[in-house]
Amino acid sequence: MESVSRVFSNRFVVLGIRIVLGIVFISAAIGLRFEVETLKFVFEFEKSKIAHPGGFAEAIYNYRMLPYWAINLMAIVMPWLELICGILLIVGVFWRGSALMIGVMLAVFIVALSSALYRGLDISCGCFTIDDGGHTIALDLLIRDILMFAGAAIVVTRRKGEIVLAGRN
Amino acid sequence: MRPLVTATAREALIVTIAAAALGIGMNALREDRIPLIASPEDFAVSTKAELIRIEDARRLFDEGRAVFIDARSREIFVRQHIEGALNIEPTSNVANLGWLSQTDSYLITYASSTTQGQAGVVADRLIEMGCTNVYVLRGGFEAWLEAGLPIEESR
Repeated sequence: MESVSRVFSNRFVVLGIRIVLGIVFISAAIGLRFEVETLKFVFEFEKSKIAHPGGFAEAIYNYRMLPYWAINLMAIVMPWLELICGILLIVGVFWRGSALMIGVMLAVFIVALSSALYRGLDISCGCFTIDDGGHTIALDLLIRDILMFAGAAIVVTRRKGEIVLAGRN
Repeated sequence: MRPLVTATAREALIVTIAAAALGIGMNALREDRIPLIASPEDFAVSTKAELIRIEDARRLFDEGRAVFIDARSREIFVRQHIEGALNIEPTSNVANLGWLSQTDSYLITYASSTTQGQAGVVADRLIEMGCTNVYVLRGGFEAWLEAGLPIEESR
């Protein structure tokens, strides 16, 4: 257990986690997704959440969890939050606060996905593009989000000594 | 420990405010901006079917992979409807429409933008009949009309 804790307190490991989380969240905002069937990256900015708040609002609506007044606000703000947090996490400015917000977003995704899977909804995730290439939600997405949440938690709880490109540590 | 928690919370708040400002600002600059606060009419059309955007509906129409179902009254339907659409009102008898559950096409229901609930009711009935790939056209017939897409009308 102690050796595990030592691995996760290694600053290069933490930097690795920040870079991975940062890339995932930037991709999610701008419409870059990995297609498992073809093992290729697909970049569809025109279908991205940032370029299409209306489409993203529909993806959020399809979860049938949020009150109406909150749907569009979330669709408008969340992609930018993903983009900004992703960039800051990699660069190392406000990285702890960014990791916290990424953790909060992942917690929201985990609750939403679990609830949608429990209710048997056949909807697109709205994770990386507004329709995720026609893929619908499944358990693997939930596992992916839980792993990323653990990564964000590791980063947030780091106290000092992190590698940053700019600003104070 | 406490200063670190405070600093982290402050960073998170700043990041969130920046994202909100950017998001709201960029949305305001868009031609197809969405209102900050959604109303039920924007979404609440069906308990089971998803909404489909006009761009996607158009693509399926062009590819011949969609059957459009007009959920408005017969009288309004006859006057003007999406090219090739069927008319199924919420109260219509659907007993002879079993073939719809056999088709591979997307079934897209619509009504007028202010009576989208009717499209939702028809979509739900189709799903209950065993149809899959049932969607409700976002914005209804008016959105189709505004986009300048093909319609049929009586003269």
